Amino acid sequence: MEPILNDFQTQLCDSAKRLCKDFGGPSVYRQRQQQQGVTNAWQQVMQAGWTGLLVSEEHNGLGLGLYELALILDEAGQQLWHEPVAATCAGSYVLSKTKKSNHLKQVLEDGVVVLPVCVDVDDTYNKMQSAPVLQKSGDHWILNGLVRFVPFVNLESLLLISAIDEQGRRALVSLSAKAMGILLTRRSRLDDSLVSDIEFQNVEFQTQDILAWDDAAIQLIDDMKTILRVGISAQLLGLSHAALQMTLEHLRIRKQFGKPLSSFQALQHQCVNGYLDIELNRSLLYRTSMAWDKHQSHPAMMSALKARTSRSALAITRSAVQLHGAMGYTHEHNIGLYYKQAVVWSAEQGNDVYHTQRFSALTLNAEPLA
Amino acid sequence: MTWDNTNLFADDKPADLAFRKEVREWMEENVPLDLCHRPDRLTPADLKPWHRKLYDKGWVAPHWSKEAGGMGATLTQQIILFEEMARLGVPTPFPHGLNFFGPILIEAGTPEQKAQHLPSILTGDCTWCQGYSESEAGSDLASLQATAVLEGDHFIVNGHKLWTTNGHHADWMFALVRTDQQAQPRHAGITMLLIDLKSPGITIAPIQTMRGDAEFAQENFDNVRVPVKNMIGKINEGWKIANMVLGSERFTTGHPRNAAVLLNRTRMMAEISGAIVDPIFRNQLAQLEMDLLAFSAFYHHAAELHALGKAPMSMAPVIKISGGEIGQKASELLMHASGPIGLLSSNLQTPEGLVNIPADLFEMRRLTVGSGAVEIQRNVIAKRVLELGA
Repeated sequence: MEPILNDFQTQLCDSAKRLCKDFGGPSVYRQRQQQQGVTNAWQQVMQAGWTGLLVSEEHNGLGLGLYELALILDEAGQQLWHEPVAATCAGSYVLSKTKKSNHLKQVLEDGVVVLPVCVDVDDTYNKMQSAPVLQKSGDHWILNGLVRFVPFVNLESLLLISAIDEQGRRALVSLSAKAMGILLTRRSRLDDSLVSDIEFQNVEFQTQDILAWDDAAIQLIDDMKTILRVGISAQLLGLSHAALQMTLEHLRIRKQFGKPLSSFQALQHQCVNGYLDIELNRSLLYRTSMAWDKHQSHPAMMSALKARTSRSALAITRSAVQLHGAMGYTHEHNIGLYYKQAVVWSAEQGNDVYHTQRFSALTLNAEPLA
Repeated sequence: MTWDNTNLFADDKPADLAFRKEVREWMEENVPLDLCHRPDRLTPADLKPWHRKLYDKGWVAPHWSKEAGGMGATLTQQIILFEEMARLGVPTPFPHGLNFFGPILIEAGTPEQKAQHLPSILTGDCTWCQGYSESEAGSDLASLQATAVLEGDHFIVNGHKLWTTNGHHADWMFALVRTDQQAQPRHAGITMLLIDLKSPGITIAPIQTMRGDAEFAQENFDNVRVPVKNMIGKINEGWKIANMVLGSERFTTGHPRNAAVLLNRTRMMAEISGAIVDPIFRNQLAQLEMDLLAFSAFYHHAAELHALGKAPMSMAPVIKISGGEIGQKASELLMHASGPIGLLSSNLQTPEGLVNIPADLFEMRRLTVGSGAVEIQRNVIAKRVLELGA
């Protein structure tokens, strides 16, 4: 069902649809390997003000909410658009809350990508890391640790690192990816996107680089996680919708046994099941993000959203490939790109197994995971 | 934060808060405790005093216009009334007169028909049943064969109706009958008649359900005379009339609260049986709770769109399929979680009152069959929403 929008939100959706279509789509996906540094799309994102979408107007942001971000990222997902919008929105939100105006200016005006780096959260089946630890050393601090498989990192990125000190106190630290002692090792993933291992080797920094301690840090990290989870869920929803639409079109055109595939009930019902999932998930996305904006959300809601959108996206794209027959298995046909993207996004920020367990723990009012 | 699955995404507007408060206070004082949380099936006779009390308060037909004797309530107010009754476990009055037939009568009835029937539907003095299905007309309803032949100022009705909820308790039936054998398409030869079930030539036999009680019935018609003045609309327009009122009138029957009650019962039984510590059971429960959460989001989203006059046609089948299938899975998990005690046919005394686990399991089977099987609902979505077809 359609979202309920005011005039401004309608305009925002229209411009998001246009922008994602112009700068995304399967052809852009296929050029990912050649992409280096700041893309044309990112320039557009900056100009549209989306990097400061969750930043209040007082801090030169758009002063919008998670609902609006979800609306945009649904469009992005439909176009297989892989840009760090949610990550940067999460980062700029934290920078505005901690009043780091210099960093915030870099993000909003210079296009710096700011990335949450959290080893201790949602990292399903990713134990080969060591959480960053900070130590006091004279009048400064040093950081050591290894965080693996972080998307979107480049030398210009600003990292917001969840770290602990030797007493186990939580801190949130901001560092440039160029800082001395940071080693980046890049690898390509199955969707041709890049991820980096970030190794911190005695990285020196100042007290002013610590954005928050203890409960304040935990709250900000939690907010970043929520923004990332909802953001990627919106992308998964958009992706699922686009893959289903593409499949419906194929079924209407392709004939076998002398009639269109769309006349076979077994295939119709497969599509209806995908449609039902998308419809419920769409409402869940809208209501969950609106609830967060109104400070009425329960943390289990985000897990339900990520678990369901992940599971549905995999089921829908799997079925989409199947219903395209041998063509669906080729490199040439675009439907495979949706499947690959679903595999990657469904695993990021916690897969459906992780989030089902987290939901269970939170709703049975027992100890939550991580 | 505790998790309350009975109140997900319910977000009353300030104007509705006062109404909810009023309803809650009145309900707490007035609900008949002997009808609350009953595991056995209640009949229209059991519900009559409660129906009358709601009528006296002016709340029995929230969705009817004031001119028709209803409350003229918004959809949100209708949902609030339902939720506050569900909160106390008191049943809502049977829907056949109030929700299914009443809106048709208001829309398509003559002034005489309205004067004759609307008051007794409101007071609950008259019980209605819906005569649509037959042995050869289930999912394929348009193939129905009960005939009505015009003779002077009467129709002569022959044939049968089947799977009629409350058929054996009802005073009147609104029925679809065939008035043109040759009509093509077949639904062009169908007419809606109101049949007084005390008329000569009618025999009614209750049918036992798998739950072991009589929920529905079969009615045979042998040269039953029905006055022409009991026809709704024009001859051969019955199909159109039957489909005229759909969607919002069935909104409350699909409320996510129904599945929430079962999931909370599942949780309670799992505490009793020990299933609650089984991680696989917990995973299954979480899956259903997440499905319920998503369905609740859809439901409230749909209600808000409906209030804006923007509800899509897909809304009704999605609510029907999702609500039915989640409720059904919940009843299965409830049986599973209860262990051997769940297999007992007698009522169980629990911290939350009497429950009957097999009754819940069997009752839920009908959700995906009655009023249009979920397979038919999927066909509707495939054809009309996804534009798939021959």
